[in-house]
Amino acid sequence: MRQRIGRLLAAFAAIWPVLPATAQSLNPDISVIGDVRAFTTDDPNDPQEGSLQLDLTGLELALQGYLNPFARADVYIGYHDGSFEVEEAYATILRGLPGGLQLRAGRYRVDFGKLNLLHPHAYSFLDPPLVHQAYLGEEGLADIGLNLSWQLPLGTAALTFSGNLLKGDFAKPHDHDEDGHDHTAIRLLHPVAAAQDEPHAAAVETDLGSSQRVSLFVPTGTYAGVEIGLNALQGDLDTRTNRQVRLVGADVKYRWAPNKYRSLTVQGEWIRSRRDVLPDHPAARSATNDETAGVERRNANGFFAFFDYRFAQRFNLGAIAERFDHPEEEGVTGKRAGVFAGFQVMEETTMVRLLLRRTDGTELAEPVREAVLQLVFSLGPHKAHWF
Amino acid sequence: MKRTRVVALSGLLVAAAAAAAPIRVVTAIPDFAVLAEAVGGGEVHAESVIVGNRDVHAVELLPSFMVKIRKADIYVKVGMDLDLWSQQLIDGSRNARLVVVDPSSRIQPLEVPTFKVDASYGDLHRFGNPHYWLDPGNTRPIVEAILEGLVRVAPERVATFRANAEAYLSRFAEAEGRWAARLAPFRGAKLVSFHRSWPYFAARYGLVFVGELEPKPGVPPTPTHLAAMQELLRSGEVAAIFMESYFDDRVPQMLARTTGVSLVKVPVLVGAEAGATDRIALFDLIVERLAETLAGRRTVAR
Repeated sequence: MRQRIGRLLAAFAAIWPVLPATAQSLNPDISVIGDVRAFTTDDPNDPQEGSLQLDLTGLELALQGYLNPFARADVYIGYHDGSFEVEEAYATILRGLPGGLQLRAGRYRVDFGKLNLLHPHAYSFLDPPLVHQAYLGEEGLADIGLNLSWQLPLGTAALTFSGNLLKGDFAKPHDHDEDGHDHTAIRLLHPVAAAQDEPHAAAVETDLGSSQRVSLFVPTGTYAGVEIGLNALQGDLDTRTNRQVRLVGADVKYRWAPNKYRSLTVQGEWIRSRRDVLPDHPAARSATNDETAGVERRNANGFFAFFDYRFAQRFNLGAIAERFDHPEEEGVTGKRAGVFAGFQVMEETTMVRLLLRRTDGTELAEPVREAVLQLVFSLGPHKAHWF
Repeated sequence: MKRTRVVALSGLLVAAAAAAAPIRVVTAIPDFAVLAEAVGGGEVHAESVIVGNRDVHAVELLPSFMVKIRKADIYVKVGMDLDLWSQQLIDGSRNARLVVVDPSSRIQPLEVPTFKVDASYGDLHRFGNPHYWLDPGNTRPIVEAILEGLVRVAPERVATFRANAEAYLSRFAEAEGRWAARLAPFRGAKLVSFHRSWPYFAARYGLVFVGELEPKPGVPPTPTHLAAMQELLRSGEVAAIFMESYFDDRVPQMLARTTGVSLVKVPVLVGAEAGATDRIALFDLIVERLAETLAGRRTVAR
């Protein structure tokens, strides 16, 4: 017995120095990304019109690592306007499934379009385009679901098919975030008349939704390529009133990056929304006691297009143009144009961006001009960006 | 009977095709691709993710790279956390049967930090300086790592691969002797580089790197640091600015002009210049340009 204890102690002593290193290597990669802004606007509806405002627009904590040789997990926790939320938490089976399938499960940013996959702090133009805010959600489209994707190699080109089964949270009415700094977009997305009659979010019942994407990447040079994608999404807005939403879209991205000093990205996306909406006044429904009475189908379109040119290792500039029809309010439209410039302070871990933009829309008496200075800092491992 | 014969014949044809099929190798850098083809002879088809005069630290992840890796049998990475993008490409390739080779596990690493590494040191690598392929003497461990990967995929061809490897290393050893002799007169010469790429090369040939134009690895030159470098270059101690050709040479050119110190610009990867067609040609270029500059025959960089 004593011998056995002695052997155990000896074995423990032998592995003791190894334990801390082993434990550390099993820890996930941890990153923190902060988004701090200084901005000013000439919007007369902004109580601080014309003055300089400061905001910690967002903070993101990322935990990433492998679960086993075949799968990894990614968790992103976001802090916005005083509250934390799980932005994404998903596991991906990377390899080992038949036919090269990849499977993802959890809450994740849905691959509706190329841009939605990126977190907004990666956008050179700072905020999600208006069309995304209006049709996908103010922070883009993320939902709990199951994704299956498959890639067909075509020589050096790649055709990728992706399908998502989604919980359907995306179909709930937009959060009305008065504290967010993009006030102008909020006013376009939440016209006063609509906000008063908005059905209460808790009263809405949704069902599973789905989305699909087909994309073709074609290399146009050693370090250049173009990707074209077609997207569709369908789901319920409210099963009680049988209201549904359907989005279709197309996107294109071209990128050329011959070396570390120069690159050009040209990207655009168009989305068409078909959404069943309730009549403006609930009295119309209560008079007939029919929840579905007066439900109308609204079609709307929107797009954005931008270019982003890196002309030196640490400097980039570009411009963006956007337009959208409100998905629920007939005749409500908005358009926006902006120019931006970025500067990496030493490395890509610290970015300073300047955005000047002008927003016009039917809900705005006058065009609104804004200047936004953003500081994005990232702690932790920073990986290469996908095309 | 006839059916049995057809099935047997088909089986033989499939087996013959499999036996004759080249092993597909994708490598992070072109140097490893030429070595894989040298070891594999005509039985290996190798291609690199990086092509041309690129910075290994920063690579665009194109879906076409994943397509290449998906069809591959072997992927050869640089390792030591230099090409973290390699793992992203491997994950995106969906290839479950891929054999991943990391030659860095076979080399003797230099400049391994003995302190906690963080971003305040720039892009310092916690496993040591990762530019080990720039030491001709590390060609043997790299070849052995690739050989081991090829044997894992096609153990029946071990004899051929081993013979090819030895033949290549024998030719390489001859060239190594030539480079050592060419640089022998310059042992102890003090140099400045753009990036900290040369500790393995310096250790091999007795060169001394006394500074880099980057204030910290991966951090572009700052005015304050350049002023200090200018002072160092004017001290007369530094024989040459020895820079990697994938960097913008405007700052080194300015320093060379204002201080009178020679600038020599060299490729660090096979294929980065027309003449650097393989590892021997690459080091021929590097050694010859450096030796010419140090001998004072040439003072202007290409």
